[in-house]
Amino acid sequence: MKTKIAEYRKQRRISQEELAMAVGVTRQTITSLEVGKYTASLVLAYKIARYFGTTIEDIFDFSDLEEL
Amino acid sequence: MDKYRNALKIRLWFSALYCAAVVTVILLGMFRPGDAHGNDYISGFSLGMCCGIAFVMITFMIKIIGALRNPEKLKKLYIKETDERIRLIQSKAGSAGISVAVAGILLAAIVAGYWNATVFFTLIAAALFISLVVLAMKAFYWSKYTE
Repeated sequence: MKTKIAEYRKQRRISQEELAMAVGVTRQTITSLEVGKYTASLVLAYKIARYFGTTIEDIFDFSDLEEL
Repeated sequence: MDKYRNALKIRLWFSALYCAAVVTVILLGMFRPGDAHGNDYISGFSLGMCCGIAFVMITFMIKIIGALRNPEKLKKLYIKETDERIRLIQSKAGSAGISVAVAGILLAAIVAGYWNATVFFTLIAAALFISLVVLAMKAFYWSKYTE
């Protein structure tokens, strides 16, 4: 899943390590989210959105989501 | 974080208890070659395995003591243990690993069956035991996460 985490992070000059510590995950998880190798859980998505003061939909791109 | 701190203290006590038990067993001479099991190789293997586990536990204990003394290290350890991606990796590796292991044991049982019936039945029993444990775990988590 595509995300705007890197974009938001660079805008605010926050390192991956700082963001990781703030939302309670490892730095590698943030890297995986940024490159789209891992999809965050609802709780983590909420924590990241709250950290940047925005909504989940704004950070995570759900356009690729398959409709059943 | 207090809950996690207490959990670490409990782990520390259990690890210390295990190490003390291993030392006691060694001092009592239960792993003396040829004594307890009547087989040097089995005694040696048991001793090596118990000492190996004790060594790993000591390294964990050092890590835990360090974390309990330093709040930043404690937070890092907590994050490392609760990270959702790491947990997902462990869960996927575990479920896939068990299926492969059971298939491997069954294959080994069929091959071993040509030469030795005891090995065949032992391997079948091992595969059956693992499958039963998996089934029990599935039933437990099914009831835990359903309704």
